[in-house]
Amino acid sequence: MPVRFDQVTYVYPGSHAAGDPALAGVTLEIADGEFLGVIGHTGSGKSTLIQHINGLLQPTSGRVTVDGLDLMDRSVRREVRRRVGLVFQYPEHQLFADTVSEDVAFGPRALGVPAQDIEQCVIAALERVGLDFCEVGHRSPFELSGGQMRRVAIAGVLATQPGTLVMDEPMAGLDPAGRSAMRDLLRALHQQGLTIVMVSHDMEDVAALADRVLVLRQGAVYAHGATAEVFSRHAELREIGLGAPRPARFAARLTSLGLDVPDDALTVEALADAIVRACANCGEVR
Amino acid sequence: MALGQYHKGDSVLHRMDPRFKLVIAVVYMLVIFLADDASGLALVLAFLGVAVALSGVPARVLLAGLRPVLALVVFTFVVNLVFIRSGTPLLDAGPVSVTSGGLSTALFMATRLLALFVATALLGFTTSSVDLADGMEGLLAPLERLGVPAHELSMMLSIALRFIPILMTEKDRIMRAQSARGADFETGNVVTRMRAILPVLTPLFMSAFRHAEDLSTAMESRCYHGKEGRTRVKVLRPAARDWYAVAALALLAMALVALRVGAV
Amino acid sequence: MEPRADTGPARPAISFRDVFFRYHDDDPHVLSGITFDVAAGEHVAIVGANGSGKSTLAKHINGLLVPDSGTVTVGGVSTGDPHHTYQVRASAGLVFQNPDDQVVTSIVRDDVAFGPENLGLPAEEIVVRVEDALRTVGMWNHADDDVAALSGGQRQRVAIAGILAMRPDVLVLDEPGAMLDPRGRRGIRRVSRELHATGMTVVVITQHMEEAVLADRVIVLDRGHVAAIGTPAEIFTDAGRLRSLGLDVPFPVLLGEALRSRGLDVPLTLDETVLEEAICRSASIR
Repeated sequence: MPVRFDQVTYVYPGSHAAGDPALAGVTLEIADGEFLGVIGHTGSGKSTLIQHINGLLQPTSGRVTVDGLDLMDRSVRREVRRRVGLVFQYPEHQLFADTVSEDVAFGPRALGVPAQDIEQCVIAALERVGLDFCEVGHRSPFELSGGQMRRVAIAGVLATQPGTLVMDEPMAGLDPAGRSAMRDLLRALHQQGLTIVMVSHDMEDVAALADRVLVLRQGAVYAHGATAEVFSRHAELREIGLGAPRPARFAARLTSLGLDVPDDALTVEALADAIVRACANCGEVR
Repeated sequence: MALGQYHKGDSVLHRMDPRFKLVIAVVYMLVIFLADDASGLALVLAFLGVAVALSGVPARVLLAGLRPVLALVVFTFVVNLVFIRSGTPLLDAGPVSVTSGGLSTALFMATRLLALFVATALLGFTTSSVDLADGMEGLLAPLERLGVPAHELSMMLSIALRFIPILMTEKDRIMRAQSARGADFETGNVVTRMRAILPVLTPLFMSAFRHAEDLSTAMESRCYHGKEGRTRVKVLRPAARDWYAVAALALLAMALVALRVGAV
Repeated sequence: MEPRADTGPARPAISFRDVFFRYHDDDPHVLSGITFDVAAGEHVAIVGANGSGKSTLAKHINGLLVPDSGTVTVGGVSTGDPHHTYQVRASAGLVFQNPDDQVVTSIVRDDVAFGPENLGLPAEEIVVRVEDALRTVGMWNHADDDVAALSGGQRQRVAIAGILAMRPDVLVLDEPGAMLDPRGRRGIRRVSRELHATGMTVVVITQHMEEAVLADRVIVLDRGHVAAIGTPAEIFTDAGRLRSLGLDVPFPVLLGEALRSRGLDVPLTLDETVLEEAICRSASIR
């Protein structure tokens, strides 16, 4: 199991306490190769949770292990950060180097990748995000377009060849074309075998990409299961102010109007199929 | 320094003319050094105590604001305790010895330093950055004749104060992002640690420039065009309480001088 | 805020005539031949992919930028007229994306006063306008708060109040919800709806469909040109054109398209209820 949370509670230092922990008794496992979507309101603990995965934060109580390594152990954290890549929101805001290749090389260098391997890591990472080393490697990251800058930032995290990638709102600020390209990138990375944890406000993105969904509420696990299953629990999601993706909600409305459409369809295409099947069934019954 | 720790309220101190508050705070911090014995210090503390009472700031908040400088106060206490040798010895442990003279000096020095910090904290708690900027502008205004750009300086101060918390948050964010990539800000000597800062400084500067550009565009959209033709909602006018405060401080200063002269 | 008196025979609130603009002489034009009118009291949405010129266009409305050729008039006054710069800026208020970068001072009440102070209004008048504006956006009970203590959505509302305090005839919102969470975006949508109801001309530049479909008319930009103007129903049901313009196709239209390609006879509509009824009708007919 790559990532494991065991009764993890976290209280921000200086906050007025035990009454209001950022994380409360979180226990969960993220399996190898899984694509986990993390949803919940602002303040539900999503950002705190992902910072525990690579040891940026340590639990106030409880334990987090990655590949069996306990993150309380400081000596282990460096290795964990090589294995778990964390990309924050608007990652292009962390670019700093004179050239793209230097920026991408920062991570591998800092995490102990041998010098002779670094250039290869940089080239490979840039290729994975769809950028050509020969074309952009020598350029200043600040000359590039916003979308390219974001991809450079992601390459910087992929350069250490992590087995797990954690992303906080990767679609933030992207236009439809950008969002579509990012979805393709995440899908491709997942197919290459990466375990992916994606925090998102967008139910459609989560429905399209995730195998499993984790719903956080006030720092605690509210729901955790297969995507279709979690999104079918409309009433519960509505109660905490989250909506299910539109296909699921639409199917539920049709069902309430008398046309029985199963609400496990996560994409428009799947929903259309389900509706056509339901209509055909109606015809047969008559 | 408790900047950016404004505690919302409507106390006497909150309502004071910020120009008076600034001057009184600075002069008070100088006047503190006129006290050179316990009775002088007592007067200094009494003045401060009244100020704290008039500020409406709860003790809990005040103590929290002093936490960052507590170490310095304790350090001052210990250094004086250990290195001042006079009066009767109280404790002798070889190279280190504590004397009664050392103890009283240490208490005096530490208390005086604490009073300094409390005064600063009180200023920060009861003066919003708007008031601070207005106060500064008011104090510098007479110098405009000499070419001092009081309004522009005040605007700069106001905006800088406004953005300090924002940039601090961004600094944290950037540090976290670089830490996630393996940056280490904690280990190593001075040189390695300074080098480690570069991946934080560059993005932070870029961010500051972005903010500056966007903010100036927004200000232009709100018809900002410098001081010409600008009116102010808040017009600074001293009230009775401001004059009482000046009088109280003057009395304190005179009393302290008297004590010093009397003691000679 | 009080509803506005009828301004009489139709003079467009905003008028663009053949506007060309580029930032530098060597660059391609960011705006090419832009021509359109916005009637007084209208609610217009401007959509387009990143790079289509939306923000540049927004800055032309309040005179921050002036055209290289062509004219922009607001309330009958040309934005290029140097004698009326501040009049134009006060009558066409512009709200930007980043809530932090619009608030100048630390206290809510003082910041809202910033605009009127710049206009040289007497103090008593400013006090009235500040209260008025803060009440309109629902932030009056936060008047003495430190801006840093507010949420993103609240800060954005304070920014809007700062503009409203200048009593503009036109309110332009440039992607006001882009940096906010869904809750914050809802708050902004509510405010712009309420303002529009009082008769204010509202122009919203947005990537979010939920905002665009609320408008009376939609203007679509594509690489500096006006690609289409029409009602939301006209614009957003043409899925093919939306895609080629790099825009999101709204869910009901996507679903309608998918169902039609599977042989179900349903209309292409933005109204989910209409679609539901059509599907149920198909089911009973069969």
